[in-house]
Amino acid sequence: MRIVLAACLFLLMARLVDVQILHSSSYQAAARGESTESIRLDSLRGGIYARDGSPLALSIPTDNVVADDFQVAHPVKTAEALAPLLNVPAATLAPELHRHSGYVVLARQLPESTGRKVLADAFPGITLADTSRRVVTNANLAEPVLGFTNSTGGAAGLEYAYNGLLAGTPGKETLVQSPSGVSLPQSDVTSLVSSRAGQGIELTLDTQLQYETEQALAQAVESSQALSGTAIVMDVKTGQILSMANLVSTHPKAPVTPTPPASSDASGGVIPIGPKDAVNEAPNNYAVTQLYEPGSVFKLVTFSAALQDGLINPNSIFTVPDQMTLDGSLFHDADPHPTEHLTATQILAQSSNIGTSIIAQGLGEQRLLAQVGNLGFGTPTGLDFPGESAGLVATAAQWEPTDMVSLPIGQVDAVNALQVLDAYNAVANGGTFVQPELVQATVNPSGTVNKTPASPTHRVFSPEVDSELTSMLEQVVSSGTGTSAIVPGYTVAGKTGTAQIPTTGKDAYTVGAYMASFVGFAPAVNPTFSTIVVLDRPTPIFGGTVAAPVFSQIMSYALHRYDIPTTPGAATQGATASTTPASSQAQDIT
Amino acid sequence: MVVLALLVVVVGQAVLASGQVRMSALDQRLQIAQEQHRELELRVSRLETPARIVGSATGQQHMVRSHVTQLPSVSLNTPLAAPILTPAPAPSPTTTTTAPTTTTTTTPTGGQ
Repeated sequence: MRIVLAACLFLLMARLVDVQILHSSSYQAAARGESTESIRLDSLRGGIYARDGSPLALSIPTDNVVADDFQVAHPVKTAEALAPLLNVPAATLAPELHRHSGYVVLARQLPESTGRKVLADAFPGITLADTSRRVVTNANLAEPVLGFTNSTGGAAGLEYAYNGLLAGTPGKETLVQSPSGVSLPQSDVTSLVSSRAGQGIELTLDTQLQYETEQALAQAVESSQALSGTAIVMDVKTGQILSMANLVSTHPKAPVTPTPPASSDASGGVIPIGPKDAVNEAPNNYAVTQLYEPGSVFKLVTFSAALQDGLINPNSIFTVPDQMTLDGSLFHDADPHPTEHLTATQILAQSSNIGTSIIAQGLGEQRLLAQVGNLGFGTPTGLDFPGESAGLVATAAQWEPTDMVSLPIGQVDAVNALQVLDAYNAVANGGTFVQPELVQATVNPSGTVNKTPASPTHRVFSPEVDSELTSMLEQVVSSGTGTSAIVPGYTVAGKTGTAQIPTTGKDAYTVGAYMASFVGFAPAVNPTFSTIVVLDRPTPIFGGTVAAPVFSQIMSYALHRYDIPTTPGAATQGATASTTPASSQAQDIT
Repeated sequence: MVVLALLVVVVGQAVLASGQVRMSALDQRLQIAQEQHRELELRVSRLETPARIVGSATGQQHMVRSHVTQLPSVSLNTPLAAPILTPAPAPSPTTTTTAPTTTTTTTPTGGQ
């Protein structure tokens, strides 16, 4: 009997040691969990600002009005008192105060001033919970770039890419509660970890230029019945993106209706952009997410490599037929012409496919592929934008004989619009490639602005080659396929592109479907801005006809906005699409 | 001595409590000011929206966008025309009042 008692005592002691010493902490934690309640304190999300510091997206602190209905002694009276403050009928509030759930949200996202009035009346069982509301100040301006938020934080665009910085750190409040889950009315906060507001980001975007870019692009998308359009304006020296517009048509290929001039438009010259309008913001940032075969703008690869290697100079003469056969495939220029003797500059200005492929054959496969990589195609742009594609570029292993014609004219590799602009920006920047930049600073909650480091650069052309390329690209605008890109008072250098679009899932191109583009910079001497305009399946199809005028419009605004001095001797009248008939203008396909 | 020490402690506590109340009041005023600042910032940015400004200018003020931009370009190497000066008339010995001397300068047109 004694032995049994001793054994029981021993077991009891062992259990006591186990509970009180060995596993005391876990039992304490379990007890605390039973009697306390932790509430997450959301942090205020940082703002997104334009380059001049004006807000583009801000989080405004708001209050949710919460009821602990166990503590509400007179639900009907409380509902009647709260109704005018919350702007909710008392008949709606009263049943909510009868739920016996312990936590009922009576109103969401009320202004803090209203929240203070609710607190001042000291209704028993009625408290406030801090929340916030994301406000976009410029309606849907630059929406594909800014992105949007949902209940979990940044969901797309820069809101998603910089979520870690913008979101801040949430806090935690721990309260003592009764076994039934009711917060004890007089219990002190057992612990309070305050939330820390997120940092803001200051973008390189110029709100006014972004607006004008979107307006010009919207007009082009609407009048040309394109599926979508993209336009980017970049600061040549810094790589800062001043505007980045991505628009889609909400009724592509609708019956043709003449578009009145902007000034006589019923809405006072403003093209409305929205889900219910003819043109809307794109679902994402096509400038970096959408790949396309660039067509003739890709001829930069061939001409830059040939100039660098000393294979050509701007005045080298080539015998150029209007078509040629390679490996059983027939290639031809956009328009039939007799065999001509063209200089390298004329080949580029007239966008001769056959002339370009003759030059490319002198370079060879390896040199072409190397130059594609040198100009940044096939590698990420460095923006780190969500969903960005590095492009699909051919490798030596994938090389086919016909690529010797197709690749130099931009009908093999698939790239994004920003990559094309980067390559031309390097020409504008004296041969130095500069990584594009969209965020120029971070903003502390206290308002301190910390500039981000300058974009990295590297040289891709010698200054001599760059000078020759610039003068050749000037000829494209002054006398070639890009005359509609002329900006009155300034010299412009650039290139048109009209590229065929591959059919999804087939090894063929879609009949009648083209990507029209123009990329260039101005002033041609000491350039300030580089710009690209891309239209998906426009009518008419030519980049020189539909994209170049948009370039001219955007560039003209940018140059005037930043007070860039005019170029002595430059044309003072623009050759707009309306003044230059398509039939009299040289055109390019690819 | 002990009573005096206790009195000092009590007074200290009272001062601290009073300071705390003032701090709370200031904190609340700060919060209200921050809230007002945010609201004003939002209003300003909405007023500065290009869409609103352009819409107001074209819709209410009846302004129109220029479709043709003409920028006369004057080369810095082009010599400017020499100013033509008109000499003042010689003073008449019979007049008692003196007319003010006028100088006419012609400038090239078309420049900005």
